[in-house]
Amino acid sequence: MKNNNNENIKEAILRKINTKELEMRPKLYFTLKVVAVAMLAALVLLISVFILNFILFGIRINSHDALLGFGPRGWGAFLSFFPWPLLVLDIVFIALLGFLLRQFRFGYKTPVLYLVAALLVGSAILGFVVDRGTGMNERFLRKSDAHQMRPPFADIYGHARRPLPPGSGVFSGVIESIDGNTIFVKDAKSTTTLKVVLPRDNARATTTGLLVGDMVFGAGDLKDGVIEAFGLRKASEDGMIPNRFLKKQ
Amino acid sequence: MNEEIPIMTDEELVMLVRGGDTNKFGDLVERYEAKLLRYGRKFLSRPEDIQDIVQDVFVSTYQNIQSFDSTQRFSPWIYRIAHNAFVNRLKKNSYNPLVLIDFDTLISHPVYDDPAPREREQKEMSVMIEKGLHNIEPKYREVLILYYLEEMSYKEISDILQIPSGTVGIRLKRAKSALKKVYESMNIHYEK
Repeated sequence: MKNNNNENIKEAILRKINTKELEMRPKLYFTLKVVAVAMLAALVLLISVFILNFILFGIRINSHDALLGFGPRGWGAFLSFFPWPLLVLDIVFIALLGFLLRQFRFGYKTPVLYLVAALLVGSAILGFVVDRGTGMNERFLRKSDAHQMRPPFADIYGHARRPLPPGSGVFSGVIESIDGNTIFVKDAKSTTTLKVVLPRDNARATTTGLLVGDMVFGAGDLKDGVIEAFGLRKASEDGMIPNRFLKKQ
Repeated sequence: MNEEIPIMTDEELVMLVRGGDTNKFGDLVERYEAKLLRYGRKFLSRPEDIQDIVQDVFVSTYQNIQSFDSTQRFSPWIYRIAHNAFVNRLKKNSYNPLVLIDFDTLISHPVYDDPAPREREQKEMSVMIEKGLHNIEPKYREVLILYYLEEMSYKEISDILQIPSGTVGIRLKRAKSALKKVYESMNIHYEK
């Protein structure tokens, strides 16, 4: 026992207070503590928003969002190309943010799952706004291409363009010629010319509206050097699906 | 003229202590010493340990008194400090792995803090809790103590345990079931 038998708890505490052995922490200490936690939470939120913004940018710049318009097989391809490790990393940050917010009353009063879901949705919305509304990613990418970025952003944006896995059946390039339901596409990254056969009467993969010289993005099955496409979409000159929210820069 | 001296609330005493009248902290110690010792007895068995921890609780309360939100009640705040202290000692004494996620707090549960059944159950539950408490999980034990023995509301328990009010309700329900099972295993008839 800390206090001797002749001294009860009250006496022991008051003795410590009166001898200055026990002192109150100043209010500033607690204010700074709250400010530090709030700043850390804001920083974690910022990182989370940035990661989700980068995921959305990666999907857009690599035209993977076009896969969503190619039917169930397109969805499958989209899921296989999705940057899951980045999403897992973001969820870790969201969980950390949830933990930090539980230091505050509104944080522990809200069920954990709802708090994490709200933070994830909130971060995703903010990430979407940053990606589609600010043009930040395009500026950073151009700087990265011109080697004007500093680490870690130079490394991050240096990996923004993800090369299409060879043999995956997903391609992008310029149409060299059109012959009925067959098109010849010059691969965007090499000199290879791909033969792409489009199915008949499939609105998701049609030559309607396409001209020689158009940039296209498509997906299909690679068989004996021929791609049997299940989806094809016109892309902008830089290979990106046009950004509806930004003027061309 | 016999003038009655108004009894100060805990919160008013806190304001005086903060303002420099540090001896008033003794009044707070007097008010909570017995309550916290009783609370501690539900977690630990050695009286010396309990007394040491209660003393630490008052030390911590005094050190952190400037962080107390004066718009809230003092009682849940000091019980929160006591809860942390006792739970830390329990963790130190037990070999249970650290629980990172409490599944009770994941989703919301409806809150039914109805005082009527509580009054009916109060006496009966108090006796039952005293007898069967040490045989149930600490997280269930705690809500039973706070609700039936310390007579706190869901909101206050929610602040002490830092869990949603709905979780307090669901834990209380499960705690009563656990207590019922303990009673059945002891061949004592349980009547709600």
